[in-house]
Amino acid sequence: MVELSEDFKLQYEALDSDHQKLVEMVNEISGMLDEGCAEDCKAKVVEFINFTKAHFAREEQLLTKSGYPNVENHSRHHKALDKKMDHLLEFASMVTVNELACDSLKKELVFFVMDDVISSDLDFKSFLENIPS
Amino acid sequence: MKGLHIQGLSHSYGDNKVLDNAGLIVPAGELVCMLGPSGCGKSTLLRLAAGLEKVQHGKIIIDDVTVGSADVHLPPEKRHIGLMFQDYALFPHLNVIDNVTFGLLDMAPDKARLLAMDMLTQVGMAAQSDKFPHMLSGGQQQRVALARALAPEPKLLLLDEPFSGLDTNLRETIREETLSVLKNSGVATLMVTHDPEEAMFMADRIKIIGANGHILQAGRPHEIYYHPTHEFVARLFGMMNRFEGVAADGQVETPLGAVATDLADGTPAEVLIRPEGVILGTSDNNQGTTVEVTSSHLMGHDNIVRVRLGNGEGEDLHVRVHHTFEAELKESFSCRLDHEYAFVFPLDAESEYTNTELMDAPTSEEISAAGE
Ligand SMILES: Nc1ncnc2c1ncn2[C@@H]1O[C@H](COP(=O)(O)OP(=O)(O)O)[C@@H](O)[C@H]1O
Ligand SMILES: [Fe+2]
Ligand SMILES: [Fe+2]
Ligand SMILES: [Mg+2]
Repeated sequence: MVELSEDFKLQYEALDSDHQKLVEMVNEISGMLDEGCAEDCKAKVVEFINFTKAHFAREEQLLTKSGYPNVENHSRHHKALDKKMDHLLEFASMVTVNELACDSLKKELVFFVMDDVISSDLDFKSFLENIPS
Repeated sequence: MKGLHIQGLSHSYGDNKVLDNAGLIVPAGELVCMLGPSGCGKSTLLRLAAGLEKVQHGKIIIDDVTVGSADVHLPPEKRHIGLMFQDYALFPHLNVIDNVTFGLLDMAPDKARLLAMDMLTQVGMAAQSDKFPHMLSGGQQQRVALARALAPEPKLLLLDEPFSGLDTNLRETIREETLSVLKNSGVATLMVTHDPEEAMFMADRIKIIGANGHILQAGRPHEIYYHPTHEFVARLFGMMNRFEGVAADGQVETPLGAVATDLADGTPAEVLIRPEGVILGTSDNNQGTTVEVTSSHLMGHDNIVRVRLGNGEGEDLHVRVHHTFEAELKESFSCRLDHEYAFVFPLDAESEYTNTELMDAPTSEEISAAGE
């Protein structure tokens, strides 16, 4: 189980609630894998990835609109995660036949959501503090 | 989150800004390697995490407790961490068992002794428990240091180039042993190295650091090797064949064939191809580009064959083949690409890292010299 502790929060409701939802989805997928419901997990991973991409778009729009100076860098960072999302899907397709893929998927999801997605957003936390939410 | 969380860490020595907004997580039970060139701030980050240095900017959180920030400084002994640093050697005046029980002073002595012996058994050093450090080999000292670091059951283990003092053969053995002990213990581990192969071997996840503790790419070893997102990252794991070209219709032409890219049409690009991505075949089937062998030499259990493109233009290519494949000088082959090992990067990318001294990988000049 991962959780979105205070330290990972941007204190910006629209983004924090997206992040919260991503974390919940990761926990849900992990739970499904632990309970042996691997068959249903692929659909959930697809849903997770779609939500992630929609979140990236919302976030980039918000940053652009508020004049965040490094928005291009951050968009590039999001773009670079495309390959990773492909890999998550690959793992998800393998979980029914391969127990190793199951472990890898759980592990990768945690790193993906906490490190690649949420931690990297902390770069603009102090910028967001000065704009109305 | 259980484990280590580093947030927005910036650190300067005088005018020298060593870390600029560095961040990472190490979840409980995972081993994360930071891989980066000498001087990029790896040890600084580890010393800050350990509490050996005070945080100027940013935050260090272990198991949801802030142990370091501009306002908070928990001393190292209160952080529940284990350290294995090059300059954090065993106490020379204490024997092996006393070295290991040193971190267990809060515990009843007989209990501490039992626990220490258990750790020493795990690292295969129980029989040497009454020896002094100077009576042990480098590898044995390393095993004791590991036992000492793990005995207090730390929440986090910090390793700074832990194997760099050992010679090559021993290093591989100790690495394997250490990895299995760490995996058994389930402790969150952050290890620093400048050796790409070591990171590949040890890590669940690798963080590649460029200048200023700036993270270039993070991912599983497999991902870093097969899908580098940065030219610098691609070059970490040894020499590369390189061609320049321009993106057109979603690909870049090279003498060995076109390589797919999502760069916009007209973008100047470079194509990097690993030596195992160049495949030699018999030249009479008329497929691929014809090349001629200019030299061949053994590297590890592979042969590195140098070949010249048929038109005689440009630099020689390096080709990695199985050691049983012995190419004759001047022999002709056809040559094609394995696209899994070919990567395209924009040529005008910030050349910020391109001049960084590459790590232990041999340069093509060194390879050439070895073959002549
Ligand atoms: N105590 C110190 N005082 C001044 N400069 C330091 C100190 N420690 C490290 N540095 C400088 O900080 C930079 C990063 O050092 P370090 O963290 O040791 O890098 P790495 O471990 O990646 O090789 C280097 O330029 C080094 O000279
Ligand atoms: Fe985000
Ligand atoms: Fe983001
Ligand atoms: Mg160092």
